[in-house]
Amino acid sequence: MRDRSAALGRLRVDLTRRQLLRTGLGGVLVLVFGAVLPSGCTRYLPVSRPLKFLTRKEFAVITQAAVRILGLPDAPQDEIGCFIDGLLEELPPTSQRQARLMLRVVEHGTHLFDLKPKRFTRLSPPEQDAYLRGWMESSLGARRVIFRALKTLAALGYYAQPQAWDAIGYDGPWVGRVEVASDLEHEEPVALAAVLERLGTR
Amino acid sequence: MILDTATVDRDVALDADVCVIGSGAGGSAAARELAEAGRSVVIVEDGPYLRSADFVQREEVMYPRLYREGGTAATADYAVLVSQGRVVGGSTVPSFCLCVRPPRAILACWERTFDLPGIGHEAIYPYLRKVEKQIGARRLAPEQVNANGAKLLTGSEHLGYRGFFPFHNRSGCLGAGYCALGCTYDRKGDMLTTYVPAASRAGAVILPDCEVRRIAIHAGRVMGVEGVFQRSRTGETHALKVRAKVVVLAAGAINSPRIWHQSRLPDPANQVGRNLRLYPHVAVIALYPEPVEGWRGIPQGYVVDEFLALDEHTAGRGYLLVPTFAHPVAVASVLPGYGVAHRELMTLYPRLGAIGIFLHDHTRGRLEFDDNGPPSVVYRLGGTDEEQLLDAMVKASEVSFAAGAEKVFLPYNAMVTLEKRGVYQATRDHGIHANDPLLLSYQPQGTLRMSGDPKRSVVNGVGEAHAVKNLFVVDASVFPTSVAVPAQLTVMTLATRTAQHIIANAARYFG
Repeated sequence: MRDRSAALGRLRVDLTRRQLLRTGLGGVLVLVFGAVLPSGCTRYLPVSRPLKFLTRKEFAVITQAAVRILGLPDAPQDEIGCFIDGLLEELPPTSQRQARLMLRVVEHGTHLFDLKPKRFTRLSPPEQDAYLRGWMESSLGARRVIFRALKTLAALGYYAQPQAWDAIGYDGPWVGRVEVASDLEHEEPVALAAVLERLGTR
Repeated sequence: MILDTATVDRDVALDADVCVIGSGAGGSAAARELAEAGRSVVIVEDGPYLRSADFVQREEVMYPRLYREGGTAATADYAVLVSQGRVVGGSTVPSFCLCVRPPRAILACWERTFDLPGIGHEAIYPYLRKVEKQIGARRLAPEQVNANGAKLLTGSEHLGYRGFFPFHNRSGCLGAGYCALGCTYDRKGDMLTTYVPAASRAGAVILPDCEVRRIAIHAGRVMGVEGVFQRSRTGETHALKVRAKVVVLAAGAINSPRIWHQSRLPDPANQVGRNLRLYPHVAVIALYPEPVEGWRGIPQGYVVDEFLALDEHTAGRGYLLVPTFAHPVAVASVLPGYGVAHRELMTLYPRLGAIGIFLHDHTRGRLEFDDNGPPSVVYRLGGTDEEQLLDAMVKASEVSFAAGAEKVFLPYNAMVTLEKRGVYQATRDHGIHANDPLLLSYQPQGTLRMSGDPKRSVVNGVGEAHAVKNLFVVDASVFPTSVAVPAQLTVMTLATRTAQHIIANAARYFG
């Protein structure tokens, strides 16, 4: 119950910001739906490493979605989820809140959008593909927005990692393998006392 | 000098002649001019002070470090991602160094239609040349253009489309290709390596990691700036107060109006946050038979302006075609398609090239303010802009095929592929919908518009607020229309002009 109240509190914040609402009726639907969904994760498998931001449920959703969207081999891809977890931890609170809402809506949207009895992480891979393609090609702007966000997170989680680069022929950053010195001497920042000495209020 | 904000252990109060808000193209240019004229200057910057060693050429590290809201800022309907640099040096730090002069027709339009005498090409030329010299802007030689740029050159020449090798502010470039993530080797003439150090040498004080909350005014005149340090030695929040005779606002076309609104500054004509242009950008991706390796070398080295039809009365319309490319994360994010088809396309990454479209938009968006956070950006591409964008995607496809592309992928969510030259109906069939294609905006403009007529603008012809004395705006907020080309050079030029106006009228502003 407390989770539901907290979710509704977050919904109010987002409604005030009018962000998803701008995506039209679909935005309202997604917001209302996301706010009343359960957020517990007792039915989700533990993750091999401690998570910094994501719950086990959110971790399962983004990891499985990334594997399907990017067409990766069906083997477990915990690395992707852990990487995304670290990135999301660094984002501003508003973006973090929206990420959580999005992942919850994707997990339970099967009931609303596809009338399926099973949640996303319980679907077979072909069912997951059909479901996610539905988001990608939806006539509702809010669903397309969420698909874009999922794809971006998936791309960050997979293609930012050096293990992915060989397969696409990208040789990676110069930093660490090509040494080039800069001619420019950057100014060292100074302590507050120096600033106060120059411009402190007299 | 540049403050190490990790040493802040108390509330800070400073006195200066001028407080500049924002250290990007406009703020740094104005600050340097004023400091070199002997004025005491404080620059307050929201973002951190990063140096070349901090630019580690990793997308997942640099996007959140360099951009506001971690790079996730977007319009309210998420149809356009709005990138705004948030670092000392502003958006010039992750720029591609493309420098295009403000078109004569646009300046003439501003002069005539918006009652702005003295903003025509001849009048601003000395400031423009000064800026170009300071940032080391020179015309690229044909041999400097990377393979992706050469595709645009070849294709457009084959079709007889007009184009040019643009100026870039880079010197001794190594061709690493990581411009968009900040230059690790200091080969860019961005604000971080040019104007900021020069301003500092002239005595300006730069305060990074400090968010401006309010511009203080009294009896219709600015009194100073109040802000909050976002880092400190104590881990607590410490306040900043700068008492200044002149305030120069240069926080960008989204953030400057926010500061204006949160400061409760007067807006008698109800123009603050209106007239927003996003100068939208989208890329058409092509598959070539041979490797292009578009992430290497100097990007954006050729510009096709055949389709930019400018007009001295209406500003005209049209778009630029510019070669563009990105590193794997960004490409995977925008590459159309799903699942195995997407992965297979990514395995062809070295053979992909892309042509970027920069749309000279007439759509008028607006900002809706929120006292507790960034404003909502309301912008829905409409009118003839949709038709222009469709036309641009067709032309970019045509150029790609003329350059030898085997296939062209349109920038939609689903995989929409053009298989052969001359068959572009799929573009028009799919059309333009919110978030499909996803548009990007690197240069929002127009939200604190400049005009000689106070009834339809916020600032006058030299950037001074109509309703607040000694308050100036020097970022792209002041543009009366889209400037039709990348905005950096225009912003710096107008900022220099404003600073020179302040210097020339010192008795009025500082007396």
